[in-house]
Amino acid sequence: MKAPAVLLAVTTLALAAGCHQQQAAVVVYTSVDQVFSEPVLQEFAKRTGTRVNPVFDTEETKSTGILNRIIAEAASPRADVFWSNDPIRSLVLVRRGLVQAYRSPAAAGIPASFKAPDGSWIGFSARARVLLVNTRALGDLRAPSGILDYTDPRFRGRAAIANPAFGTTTVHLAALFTAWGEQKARRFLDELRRNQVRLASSNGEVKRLVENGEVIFGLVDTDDAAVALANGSPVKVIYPDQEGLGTLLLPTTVVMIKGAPHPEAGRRLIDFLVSADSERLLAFAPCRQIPLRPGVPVPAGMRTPDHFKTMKVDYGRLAEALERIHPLLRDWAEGQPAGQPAAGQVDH
Amino acid sequence: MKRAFHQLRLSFLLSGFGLLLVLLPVGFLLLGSLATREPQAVPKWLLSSGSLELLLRSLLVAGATSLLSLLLGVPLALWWVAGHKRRWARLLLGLHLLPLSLPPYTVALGFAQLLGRLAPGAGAGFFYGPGGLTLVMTICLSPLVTLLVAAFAARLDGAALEAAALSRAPAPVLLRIVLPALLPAAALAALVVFVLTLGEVAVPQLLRTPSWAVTVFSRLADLSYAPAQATLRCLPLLFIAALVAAACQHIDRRARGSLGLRVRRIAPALLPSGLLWAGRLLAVLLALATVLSLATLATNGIAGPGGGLGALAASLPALANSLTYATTAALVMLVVAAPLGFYWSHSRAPATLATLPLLLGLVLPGVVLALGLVIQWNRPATSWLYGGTTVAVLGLVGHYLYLPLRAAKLGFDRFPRAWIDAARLPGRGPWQRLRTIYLPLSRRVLLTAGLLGLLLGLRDVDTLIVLYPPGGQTLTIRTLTLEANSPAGLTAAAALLQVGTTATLLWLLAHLRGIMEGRK
Repeated sequence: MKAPAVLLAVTTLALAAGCHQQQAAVVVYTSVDQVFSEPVLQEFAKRTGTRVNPVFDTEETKSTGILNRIIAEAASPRADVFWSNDPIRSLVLVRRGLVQAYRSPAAAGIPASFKAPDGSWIGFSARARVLLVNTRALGDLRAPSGILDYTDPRFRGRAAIANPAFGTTTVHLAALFTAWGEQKARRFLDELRRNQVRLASSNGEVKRLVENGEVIFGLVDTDDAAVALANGSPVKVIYPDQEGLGTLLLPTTVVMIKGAPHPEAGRRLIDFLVSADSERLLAFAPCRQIPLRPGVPVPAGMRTPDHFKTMKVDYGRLAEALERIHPLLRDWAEGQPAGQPAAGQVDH
Repeated sequence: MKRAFHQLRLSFLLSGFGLLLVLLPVGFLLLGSLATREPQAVPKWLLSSGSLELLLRSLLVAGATSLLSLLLGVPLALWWVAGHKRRWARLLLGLHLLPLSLPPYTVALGFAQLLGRLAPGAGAGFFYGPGGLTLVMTICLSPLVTLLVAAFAARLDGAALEAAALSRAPAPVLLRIVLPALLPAAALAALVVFVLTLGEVAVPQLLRTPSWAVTVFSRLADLSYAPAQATLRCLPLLFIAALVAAACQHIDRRARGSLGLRVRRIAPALLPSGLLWAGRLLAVLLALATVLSLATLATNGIAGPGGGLGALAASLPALANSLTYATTAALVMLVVAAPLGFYWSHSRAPATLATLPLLLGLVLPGVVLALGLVIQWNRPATSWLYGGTTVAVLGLVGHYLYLPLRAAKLGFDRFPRAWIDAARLPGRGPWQRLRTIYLPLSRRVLLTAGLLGLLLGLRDVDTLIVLYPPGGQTLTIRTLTLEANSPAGLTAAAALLQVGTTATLLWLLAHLRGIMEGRK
C-alpha cells in the first residue's frame, strides 16, 4: 500500500507550491472597506496590467489589525503599500520608521495640508465625521448639532458612539483631546458614560443602530452615512459643530513600506491611488468619498470642503496625541473611568 | 527495550510538533514583549472590575451554551441511536449537524439578515446581546454533543440494557444506567463547547456583544499593539485545557474508543417514549433554525441586493484559497495523525503528556497563535516559509492538529488486542505493520480524521485572518471583511458558497463511507 507515501508527496508538493507563490506584482494592505477599495484596485490592475495582491481589514478592528500586521512583519516586510482609511495609522508607521518617502508626481494637485512635506505620506479622497440622525426616532426633539449633544440629557441612552480603541473614532477623540485639552476631553468621556451613550463595536454598528431606530443619533463617517441613505433608511446627515470647532475631515492616506519587496509596482499603485481619476472613482462609488483636489467631478448633492466648515487639524500632532491617549481610550472602552490627567500631563 | 526506545522516539516526535507549532510561537510572542512594560499591565487588567465583569459574563455565556447544548444534544443523540432510519429523520439530523462544520459567523449572519428583513429593530435587544450569542453558538456547537454522546451510546451493552429493562421501567434505566454511562462523553463535549464559545471572536463582534475573547483579540488589533498582554490574558484557558485533558483521560479509562461515528441501534422500547419525542421535537426545531438562517443567506445571496451569479463568481477565488489551505493542512494533519495517533493509542500516559502542547494550541485563540507564528517565522532567512501559503498551513495545523490526532487515536483504540499481537509476528517492523496492517484496517477512521482537519480548516477565521497571504483571502475572511458596508446579497453570496461547499464535502464523505462499507 502506497497511500502514506502518496499523501506525503502530495503534501510536500503543496507546501512547496505555497513557498513559491509569492510572485506578487504589488502587495497592498488596506483598511478601506473591501467593498469600496476592491473596485479601485481592480481598475488599477486593468489599466496597468499589474497584479494586485491585497490584504483587507475587518470592520471591527479597522484599521489597526492590518497596521499591527505590518508592525509584526517589520523584520521582513511583505507589503509594498499601506492604504489607510485615515491619516493616523499611516503616521504611526512613519513614527516607527517603517515607511520610505515617495513624492508622487501624481499628488501635485493635492493641497499641502493633506500630505507630508518629506513625502512620507499622502492624503487623498476624504471622509467627514458626521452625525447620522434617525428622523423618526428624533420625533419632536431638537436635532443634535454638535459633538457635545452626546452629553445632553435629552438624548440620555439614545445616542451611540463606536469603540474609541478602533477606527476613525479614535482619531476623532484624539482631535478633541488636541482641540479641547486633556481635562475637558476626559470630562467629556466620563459624561458620555453618565449619559448612557451606547458603545458600539464599530461605525458600521452605529449606523445599524441609528437605521433601526435603537438610538436617535450617532457619529459615523460619510461613507457609512451614504450607505444608510442609499438603503432608504429614515435618516438625515448633520455636519457637526458648524458654529464651533468645525467638522473633522479625514483623508485616506497611502504610504510606501520601507523595504517593500516590489518598490516599482508600489510606486505605480501610489501614483494611481492619489490621482484625480482615483478620487473621482471614489466620489462616485457608494462610499461617496470627498475629493481633496479642487475641480474633480462629484455626484450631485455631495458636499466638498468648500461647502462646510472643517476642523483645523495638524495630523502629525494628532498622531502624537493618539499614541499618548490610546491606552486611556482603551481602558475607558473596557469600563474604566477616564478620570483626571496624571501629574505632569499638560493641558493644551 | 527496543519497544521502549521506539516509544521514546515517537514521544519526542509528538512533543516536537507541540513545541514547534504551539510553544515556540507563544514563547516568541512573550519573549518579544518582555522588554516592554506590557506584562506589568496584566495584573491591573485582571483585577479591574470591568475585566472581571467581562470575564464573568463570557464564562456565563459559555456555561449557558454548554448547558443548552447538553439539554438539546443528549436527547437528540439517544433519539438517533434508538434508530430512526427514515429519510426525513436523516434529513433532520443532517440539518442539525451541518452548522458544526460551518463558521458560527455564517449562521449568525443568516439570522442577522433575517431579522433585518423581517422587522428591523424588532428582537434586536435579544439577538444583539448575550442571548443571541448563546443561541447561535448552541445551534452551531450542540451537534458536537449529539455526535459524541451518540458515538458513546452506540457502544452501550445492549444485552445489559435489556436485562435491566426486565425489572425496571425505561425511566430508571435511563437515569441509573444510560445517562451515567454517557456522562464522560457528555462532559467532554460540554467542555469543548465551553472552550470554543469562550474563544469565539467573530460572532460577538457581529452581534455587538462585549466578550473576553474580543478583548484578547483587541490587544492584538488596537493601536497599542500589546501581544504579551493578549497572550497573558489567555492564562485562564490553561485551566480549561487541563480540565479537557483530564476529561479525555477519564473517558479513555472508562471506555477504549468511541469516535467511530458508526452508530448502532438501541431498541426504542428501552428508552422512555417522552425522551424520544423530545429528541424528535428538538431535531425539528434545530433543523428549522438551520433552515431559517441558511435559507435567508440563499435568498439574499441569489436574489438580494448585490447578490446573484456575479457575486457568487466573485467569491470563487476565495473559495479556491480556502480549499488550498484547508486541503493541504488536512493532508499534513493526516500524515502526522496516523502514525502518532497509533502510538498514542498504545502508550498511554507519556503520549498524553506529549500532546498537551497541542491541546493548548486548540484552546488558545487562533489570533494569538498566528501572531506568534508571524514573529517566529517572518525573517529574511525564513521567507521561503513565510512567503507563501506554508505559514497559513502551519497555523491551521498548530491550532487544530489535536482533534484529528485524537480522532485517529480513538480509531486505533478500537483495534482488538489480538490483532495487534498477531501483527507483531517476527519479521515485520513497526512502520511496516502500520503500513500493511493498521492503515488498511483503519481507512474509515483516517477518513474521518482527514475530513475533520479539512472542515476545521475551511471554517477557520481567527488563525487565517492574521496569516493569509496577500491576495490569498479565504471565503470565511471574505465574508467577514465584506460585511462592512456591503450590500446584503454580496456578503450572503460568499457565505452561501461556504455552506454549499461544506454540504457537498459532507455528502461526498457519506457517499465515500457508503462505498467503503459496501466493499467490506
